[in-house]
Amino acid sequence: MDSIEWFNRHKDLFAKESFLLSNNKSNYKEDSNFAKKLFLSCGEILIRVNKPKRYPLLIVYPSSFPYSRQKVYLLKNKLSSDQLEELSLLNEHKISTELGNNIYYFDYKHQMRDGSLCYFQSDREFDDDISVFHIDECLLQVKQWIESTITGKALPEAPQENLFLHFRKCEGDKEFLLPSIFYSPHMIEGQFYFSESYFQSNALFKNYVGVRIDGKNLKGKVITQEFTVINSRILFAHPLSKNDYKKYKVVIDKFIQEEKIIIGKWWEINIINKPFSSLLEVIDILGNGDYMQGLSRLEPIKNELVKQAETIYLGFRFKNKLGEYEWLFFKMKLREKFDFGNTKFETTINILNGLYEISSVSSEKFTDEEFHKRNKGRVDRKNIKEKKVAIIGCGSLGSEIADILGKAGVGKLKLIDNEIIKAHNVIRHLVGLRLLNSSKVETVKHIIENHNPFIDVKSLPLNILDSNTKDYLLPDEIGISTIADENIEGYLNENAILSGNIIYYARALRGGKSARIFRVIPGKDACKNCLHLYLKEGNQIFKNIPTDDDLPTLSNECNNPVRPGSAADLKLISSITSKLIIEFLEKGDDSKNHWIWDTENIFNVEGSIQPYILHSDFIPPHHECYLCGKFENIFIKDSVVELIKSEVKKTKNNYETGGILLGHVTENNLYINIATDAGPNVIKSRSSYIRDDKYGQSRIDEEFIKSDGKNIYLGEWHSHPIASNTPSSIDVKSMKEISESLLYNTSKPVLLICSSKLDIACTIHPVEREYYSQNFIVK
Amino acid sequence: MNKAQEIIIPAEKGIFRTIFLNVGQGDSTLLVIPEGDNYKFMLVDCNIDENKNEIDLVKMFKDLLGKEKLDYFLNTHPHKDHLEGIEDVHKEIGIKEVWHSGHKPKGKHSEEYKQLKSVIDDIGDKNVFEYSGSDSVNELDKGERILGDITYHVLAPAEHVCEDIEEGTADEQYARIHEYCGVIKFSYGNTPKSILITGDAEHDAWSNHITEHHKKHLKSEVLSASHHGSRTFFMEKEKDEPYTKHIENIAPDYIIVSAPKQKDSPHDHPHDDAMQLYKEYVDEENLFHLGENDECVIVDIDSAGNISVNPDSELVKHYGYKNESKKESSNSPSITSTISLNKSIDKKQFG
Repeated sequence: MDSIEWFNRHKDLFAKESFLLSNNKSNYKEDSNFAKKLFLSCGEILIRVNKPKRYPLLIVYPSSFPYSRQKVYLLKNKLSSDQLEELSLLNEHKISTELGNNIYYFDYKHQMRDGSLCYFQSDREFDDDISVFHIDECLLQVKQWIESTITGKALPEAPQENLFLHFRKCEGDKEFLLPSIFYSPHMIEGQFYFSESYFQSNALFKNYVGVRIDGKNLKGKVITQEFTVINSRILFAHPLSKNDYKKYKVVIDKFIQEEKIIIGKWWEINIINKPFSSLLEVIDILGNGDYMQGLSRLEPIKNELVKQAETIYLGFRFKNKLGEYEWLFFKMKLREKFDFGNTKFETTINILNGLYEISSVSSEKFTDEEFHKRNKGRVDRKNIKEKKVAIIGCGSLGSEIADILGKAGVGKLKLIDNEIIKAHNVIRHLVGLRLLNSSKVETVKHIIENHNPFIDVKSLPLNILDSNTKDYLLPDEIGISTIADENIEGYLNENAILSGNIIYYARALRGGKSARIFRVIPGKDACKNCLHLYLKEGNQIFKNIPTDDDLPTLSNECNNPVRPGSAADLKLISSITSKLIIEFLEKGDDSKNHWIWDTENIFNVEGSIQPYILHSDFIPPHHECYLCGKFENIFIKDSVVELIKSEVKKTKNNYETGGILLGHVTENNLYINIATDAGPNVIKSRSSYIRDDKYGQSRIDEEFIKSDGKNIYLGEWHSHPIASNTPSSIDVKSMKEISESLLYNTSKPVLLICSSKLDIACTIHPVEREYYSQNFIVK
Repeated sequence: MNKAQEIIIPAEKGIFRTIFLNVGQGDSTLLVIPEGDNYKFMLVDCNIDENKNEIDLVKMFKDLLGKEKLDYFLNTHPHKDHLEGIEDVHKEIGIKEVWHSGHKPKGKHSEEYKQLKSVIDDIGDKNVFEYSGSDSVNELDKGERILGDITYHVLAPAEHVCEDIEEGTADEQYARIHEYCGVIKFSYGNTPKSILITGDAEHDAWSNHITEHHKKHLKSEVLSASHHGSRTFFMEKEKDEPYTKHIENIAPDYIIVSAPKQKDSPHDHPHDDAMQLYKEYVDEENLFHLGENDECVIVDIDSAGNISVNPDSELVKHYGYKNESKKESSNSPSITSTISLNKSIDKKQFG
């Protein structure tokens, strides 16, 4: 025996529906009902608009009721009890065919092709009453719908018409995608051009993209607009510019013949209220009810009609209730030829009306804004349209992150990886077997472009160990490293800090059961080296995640460690990483820079990180980091300041003078204890001073010994004979050399400059980094 | 927005809405008259008996109008069942303008007129309009007149009939009150649709003065049945040959009978024979007997001239008097008992 029907299972509901069918406020009078395989009710609904009239209905409860709604068919004649019983034994999908000619088509919107009516669905989750849609509500909608067919009054509905669905004949093998050029105002009628697209899924269905549109404006001037999008090469097979059309007419005519290119005429019209199916109705729409005017607007296709062209494509553009443009497209197909002889065109219309069959062609808005509309409220395209992100490493994590960012609408993506896709990659990778042995960046780029043609994707098949970030990252480009190799990431980290690029690092750990994601804004966040230092000193700010010995690295051939982890884990980590990056791109919130994902409770002892909750932290740079460390405080002794000032005062003729700074470093503080004078062999001038090196070195040695090795070389001081105390280009150059030279035992030399007004400024000049100024404390 | 406003004021602009209110043994019809973007309200006759499920007009108007006054009160004739409670309405709500037929019962009959008179006295003569149809000089039809964006056409009383009646004694005058009764047609829409208010106008008023004179303008899509569905619309007394020329010319699509359930009517309104006659002109389901179903009927005419007719139970639910007259069995039978599909349970074996 078959499974039991819904009405055997939900008896109370069945009872209620049966009751409502015979006791409703919509004037539905039930003739008969049957509950065999399907539960059906047939009767009439009384509509009291103008002359009261009864409309026969068939109500079909689908097998999936109450999880799907009753279907209501409008009939020409009521069904006999026997007929209804027979239908009741059928599958619900056969009802429409079985009803055949008895279906009453109103040719009005919201009647579907199978004759049933559409509903306005509520999409609230966990509605009260689990959104059972009872028949009284349904009948009320039917009543309103029929009333609206009489009065023409709008139903409560979405602003978009979706009228296409309500045309009885439609082209089942093609769809037009309409780029922004189809929505530009100031055009009233003209010609449209569609080209077959590259991304069609099967041979039986063709997608076309609008490549060009011509339109007269109100003054009669023709404007031509061509569709140019970043990735047009993946969109349409045959771009078609105005010049192409003249130049390659023969080829293009062949393409038209093969329907690789579709060209048709379009008009702007007031409104299309209801579906239509004949040329006469087209004239009515064009003339807005005025036949003669409609006939005159038919002029652009007059020649084709006179010649009785096999197919004529038409497009209508109108404004919906929101005042936005909508399109409807139609194909007119010649049924048979007719010999008109010399009959005047105007008098052939009635015959032509019978010769042509009109069917609608599905179309969809295909603009940047519309394409990203479903991201609305979660990621705003306009905030990230201009953002640049480089994905460094396009493996299982990188390819997925790239795809998610692409779908989010990040404007410019760069893919960096020099590997090719191998069969063993596919199980966790975005790319499938079809693209084996292609470059990873090329194949990922292809897939991302296919997912979002409105963004710019670049591929760079390079090994970052062979390059400097300056070669592959733009100054404002954010990088995402998923390389998962300590050395390569270390190199990237050093490069990026020096070039000033922000980098995110994401790595799956313990077979994907955990993950560490962190961001490095140079100078603001702890860099990769800082984290190493924190780990080394056992600082709890860095949470170490031990490796899982049961899931060791699978292979490490040629320094390419492959670690286990399934797509379920890796996609999740990719999503989390992408989400963090999108949030940062959109809102710029940089209050956190380190995230740990754990699914096992490995931090049970500390209890600070709970499984399945993303743990977030802010980790500042480590003070000892050669890349980003900074002194917390700089202390300068009174005697140092006094010496400098008195030396400056002593120097005549506005010459410069200077000396060496000695002192010590503890923890994160710098102590300047001694300043030397210029020495006997100094060369002073108004724009520079050249120190007495021998004197300087002797003072260093002397103070080193005197202090038992406490006071060491820290940097330089000198005067400026002007009011400014900022480093000159010569100062910067010298300090850079000091920081880089092995002769000076510091990579962060300090520079004090005293102005003519005796103001002293302090700058630090770290190796390979921009110098920065820092306040100091005199004590 | 409170319930009265929600139900009574059309959601769109430019709808002429007529609500036949359930008021038991009497008449009360509310006209919602479009005037540009706004609406004005006219109450045609008034009856407050305070029986269960009958509309509490004062409460309803308080919600509908807030601190505003009612724009118009139109009385078809000064009988108690067309005037009862109008003093309360005026006292609680206020009435700006009174329209009436001009009939003023005298002598012992003046009691009936008292309520209307007190309202008229209060608002002053300049706010009172005595309507009439054809004038007395040449019996010429005064034609359609404008009220807001709708039109109205007074078909009765004709001036010469009024003058004729006024000549009689107080008793004679009172006997002919239904001849002096207002019959008014309200129309709206590009292809105009009409509602005919008939008060208690009886067959002799129709046959003598109205039908022939106004044959061309009688056609109305909605007919408010005269005299609470009484046979007097068609005949003097039971079994007389019915007069039907008027309804043939009115040719209604919908008929509204304002009467309580027949068993609750002291006059057995509506009369069975009258209802039978009405059914010859409209289908049973387009003949609405307000008291029978304890409902009101809302008629909308849009600016294009589409008319739609819908019964309404919400007004009764929110503004009907709640007092129990007698214990009634619930109207809706228990749900499970209505299922007839499984006529009986089948045989089952148990071990």
